[in-house]
Amino acid sequence: MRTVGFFASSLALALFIHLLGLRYVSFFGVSPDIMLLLVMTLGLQCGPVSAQTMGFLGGLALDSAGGGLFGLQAFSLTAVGYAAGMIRRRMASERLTAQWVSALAATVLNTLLNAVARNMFEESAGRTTVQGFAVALLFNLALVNGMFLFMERWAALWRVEAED
Amino acid sequence: MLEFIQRNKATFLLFVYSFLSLVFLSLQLQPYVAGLKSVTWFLLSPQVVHTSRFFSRLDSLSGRMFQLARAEGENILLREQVAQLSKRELERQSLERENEELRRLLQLRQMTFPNAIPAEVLSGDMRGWFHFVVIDKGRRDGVVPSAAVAAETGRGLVLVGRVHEVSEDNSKVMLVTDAASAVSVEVERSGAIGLLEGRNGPGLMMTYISQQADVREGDRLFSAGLGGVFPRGVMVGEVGPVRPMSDGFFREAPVELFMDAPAVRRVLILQRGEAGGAS
Repeated sequence: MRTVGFFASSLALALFIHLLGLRYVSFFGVSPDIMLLLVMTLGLQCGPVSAQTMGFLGGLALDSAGGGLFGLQAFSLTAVGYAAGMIRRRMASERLTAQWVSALAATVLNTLLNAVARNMFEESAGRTTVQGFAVALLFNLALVNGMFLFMERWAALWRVEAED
Repeated sequence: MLEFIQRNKATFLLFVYSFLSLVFLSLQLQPYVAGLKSVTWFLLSPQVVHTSRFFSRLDSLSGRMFQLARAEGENILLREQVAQLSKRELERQSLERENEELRRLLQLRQMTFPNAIPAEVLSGDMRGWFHFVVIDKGRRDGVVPSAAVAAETGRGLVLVGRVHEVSEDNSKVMLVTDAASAVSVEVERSGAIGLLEGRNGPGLMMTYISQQADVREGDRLFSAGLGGVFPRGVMVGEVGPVRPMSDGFFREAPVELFMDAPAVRRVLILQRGEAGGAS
C-alpha cells in the first residue's frame, strides 16, 4: 500500500512539474523532461522494476496528455528505467559526476528510442535537431542533482526500500 | 516457470511493457487503442485540467499585477505629462493673447504709423517726483529723443508720453501724467484747442481753453499735433466739468485718460513728425 501510494504520488507530482515546465520553461521548443529524470533516478535508487513500472505508466500518461504517438513515451521510458535499474549496483549514484553521466546516457537513450519508434510508426516523422537535443541535455544535467536529492528524501518519507 | 519469472522479474517486465508499448504504437488507428487512450486521459484529465486552470489563473493574476504595476507607472508619467501640458496650455493662452495684442498693435501701426517702433516697458519710476518708465528700445533701434509714445487699448492708440532720454539699448519715457509734461490737445467734436498738463498723479488738466471754445464735459480729446512733438490724432482722454481758470481769462477742465499710463506694458514709439489719422 505504501509502495502504491509512493508510485501514485510520485507520478502525480512528476506530471504536475512536467506540465509546469512545459508551460513556463521552454527554450527552442524544448522543456525539462521531468518524467525521464524521475524514471532514471528511481532506477538508480530503487531498482529496475520500480523504474520500468513508473516509466511505463508515466509514459502512457504523457502520451495521453500529448498529441503524439500513443505508447511512444511508454516504450522509451520503460527502456530507460530498465537500463538505469540494471546498472544500479555498479554505480555510485550518490556522486555528482555519476548523476551527470547517468543523465547524459538517459537523454541519449531516450532520444534514440524516440527517433527509432517515430521513424517506424509515424508517417511524417520530424527529425530531432541537434539544437533540441543539446537543450534537453542541458536541462537534464542542470536538474538531475536536484532530482536525486529530492527522490532520496521522498522515498525515505514513504519508507520505500530498494529492490533486492 | 514462475520461479524463472521471479528470478528475472526486471527483464520479464521489460518485455511485457515493451510489447504493450509496441502494440499501442502499431495499433494507432484501432478503436480500442483510442478507447484506452480516452480511458487514460479520463483518469488523468482532472489533474491536467485543474493544473491548467490553476496556471491560467496564476497567469491572469500575475498579468493583472503586472498591469497594475505598469498602470501605476503610466499613471505617474501621465500625471507629469498632464501637468506639463497644462503649463503649456497656459503659456499658449498667454502667447495667444499676446499675439492678438501684438497683431492689433501691428495692424494699427501699419494703418496709421507705419514707422512706429514697438517696445516693452522694463520698469517704472513712480517715486512721486517724476513719472517715467524705461523701455527696451534705444538709439540702436532708431529711437530719438522727444519721440511720442503711445499704447494700444481696446479703443485704439492712446497717448502715453514722450521719449525723454535715449541710451544705446533702452530709453526713458516721460509720461503725460508727469508735472513737466504738456501736450496740445484738440476736442474731437468741436476742434477746440487746449493744453493738457500733468499733475504727477492720475488726474490731468486741460488748461488755456478760450472762453469761446466749445468744450463740454464728456468730449473726447486727441493730440493736436501743434509743436511738432506729438503727432496729430492720437487719443488722449475724456473731458470733465469745465470751469474758469484762476486768472479769469481762460477755462480749464480735468481730463480722465483713456488708459492708466503707469500700468502700460507695451508701447509704440511714434517717430517725430510722423503723420497719422485718428483710429
